[in-house]
Amino acid sequence: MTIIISPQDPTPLYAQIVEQMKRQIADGTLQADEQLPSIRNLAKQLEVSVITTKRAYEELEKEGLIYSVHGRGSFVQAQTNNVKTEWLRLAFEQKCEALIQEGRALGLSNEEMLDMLRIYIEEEKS
Amino acid sequence: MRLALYKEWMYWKYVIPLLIICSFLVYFVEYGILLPLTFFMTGAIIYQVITERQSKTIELELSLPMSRDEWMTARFLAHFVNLTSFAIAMYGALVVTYNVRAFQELPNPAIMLIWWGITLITMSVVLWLFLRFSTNRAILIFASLYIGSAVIMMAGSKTDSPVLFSTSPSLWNAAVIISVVGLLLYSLSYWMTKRHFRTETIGTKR
Amino acid sequence: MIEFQEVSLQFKHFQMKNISLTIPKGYVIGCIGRNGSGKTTFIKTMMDLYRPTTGQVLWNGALLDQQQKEKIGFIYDDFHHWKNTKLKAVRKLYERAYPTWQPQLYTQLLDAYGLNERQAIHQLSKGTRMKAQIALALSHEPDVLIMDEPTSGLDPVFRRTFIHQLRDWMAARENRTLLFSTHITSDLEQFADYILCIDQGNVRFFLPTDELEERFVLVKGPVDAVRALGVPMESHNNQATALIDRTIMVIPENLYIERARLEDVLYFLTEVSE
Repeated sequence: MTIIISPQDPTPLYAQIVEQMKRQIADGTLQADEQLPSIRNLAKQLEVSVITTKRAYEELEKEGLIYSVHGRGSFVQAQTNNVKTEWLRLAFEQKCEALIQEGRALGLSNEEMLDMLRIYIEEEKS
Repeated sequence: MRLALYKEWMYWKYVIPLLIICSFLVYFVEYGILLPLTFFMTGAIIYQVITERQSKTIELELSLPMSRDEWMTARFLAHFVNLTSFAIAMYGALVVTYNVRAFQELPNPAIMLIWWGITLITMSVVLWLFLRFSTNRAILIFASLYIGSAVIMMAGSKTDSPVLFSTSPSLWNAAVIISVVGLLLYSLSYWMTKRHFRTETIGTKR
Repeated sequence: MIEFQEVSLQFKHFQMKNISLTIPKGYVIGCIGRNGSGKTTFIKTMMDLYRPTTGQVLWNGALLDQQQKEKIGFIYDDFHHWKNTKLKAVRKLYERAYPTWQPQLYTQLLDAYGLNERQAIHQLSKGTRMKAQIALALSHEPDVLIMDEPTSGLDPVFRRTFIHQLRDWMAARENRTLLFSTHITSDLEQFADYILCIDQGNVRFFLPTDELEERFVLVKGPVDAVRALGVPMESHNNQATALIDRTIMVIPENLYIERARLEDVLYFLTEVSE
């Protein structure tokens, strides 16, 4: 499992871990029932404090993304395809929102933004 | 307790060569060795405390598995053993010296006991002063006591009796009294200093 | 765990007021604060070198005793020993002090740090003295390591190696506790689990690092915008920086958010006051 922590990012480290693991579960990098490294091992691997990984796992468990077996560790919770798609969709929607905001800040009109989008889609096809 | 004693031993083992040297010196100065030894014992107490405070070793020592009581007990015990060893060694050296010089009698143990008692009294005071008070204050009090007692002694000493070779009962009485007083005072000093040490804030006394 | 129950200390020129907190077992506790803030006083009180004027310090529910001390490794701001003592003599004292002393581990550390037992301690440089203390403290496999400024006098390269070693040490066995006081806050970044911030004899906060990250961020922006927040700030030309506690303040949109490092937290909470 590869997770990259960015100390520059003001997001709390545990949140960064949660985000990345969510993505990996959604796109299949982390498979259902796959065993995750222990809190301590992950902390050691990422060189963060144990509190950080502990919190990350707690959050993930709260959201039903992982489950833990007493004495054996934590595992990825199987997600229905709907759920996975939902997240990816949500992530996409958030990106759209961010894009529109940037466009506005640049002073682009709605027309200009839609045109640009169309051009790039066309380019991709060919 | 063993740790505390070992710690004292680390310091005191360097005195052993001195013990041997003094034993040899007895041949030349006989009883004359006793007064310098008292000075040495007293000086050693003071020197140990001063260097300890400068290098703050007590902080390290009390962070080890050693209690304050053990620390203090080891200190008092070490000095006591030191003094008694010297007393026995010097007496032994005197015996040898007398034999070599073919004196017709043994050196008077009462003298030794008196010296032991007097030095014990001195050590009791010095230990209490220097372990309980800051160095400066202790020196001040000690100096005043020293001068005071020197004045008293000078005023009191008029007769020069041939005490050294007499085994009269009065000498033995004096020896017993002085050594018992010495022991009592030493115990009192130990008890008082130990009690005070229990609540002391370590490392802030200079 | 170590419990402070309403501990107060009164010195001639310094005071520590009413500290009540519990240090949990099994974590890395970073203790930050400026020089003279009371970090050392805090640690010395914990180690029973300072007796509190009121209150008490309990280790696992009892006063600090010999058995408990056998499981504690300590590293103080300097190596205190008699002037001409050699490292070898101190080692012998430690061997006797701790039933769990590991001679091989000690020799390994000596080699790794390049220490020679036959040297007199006061002749060593500050950094070497600290390394000697570290070797002595680790070699009896303590459950708790108490360190007061252990990295002062050590170069950044050694410091990094040292922190790695401490990570390994923590991971090697369950429930090891590490208390690390330092003013080099970068040593604690991403390493400490809890942060205890002491300032002028008071505990400013004692928080787990995830909460710390959630709460404190730096905001940057034009001086007027930052000033409008009404918190202590620092300004340069026309730009200002301030520390925001997210739990008590919402950050306006026009300001730039940056991660607050421990140093920033310490700086803004104890130094900047505008």
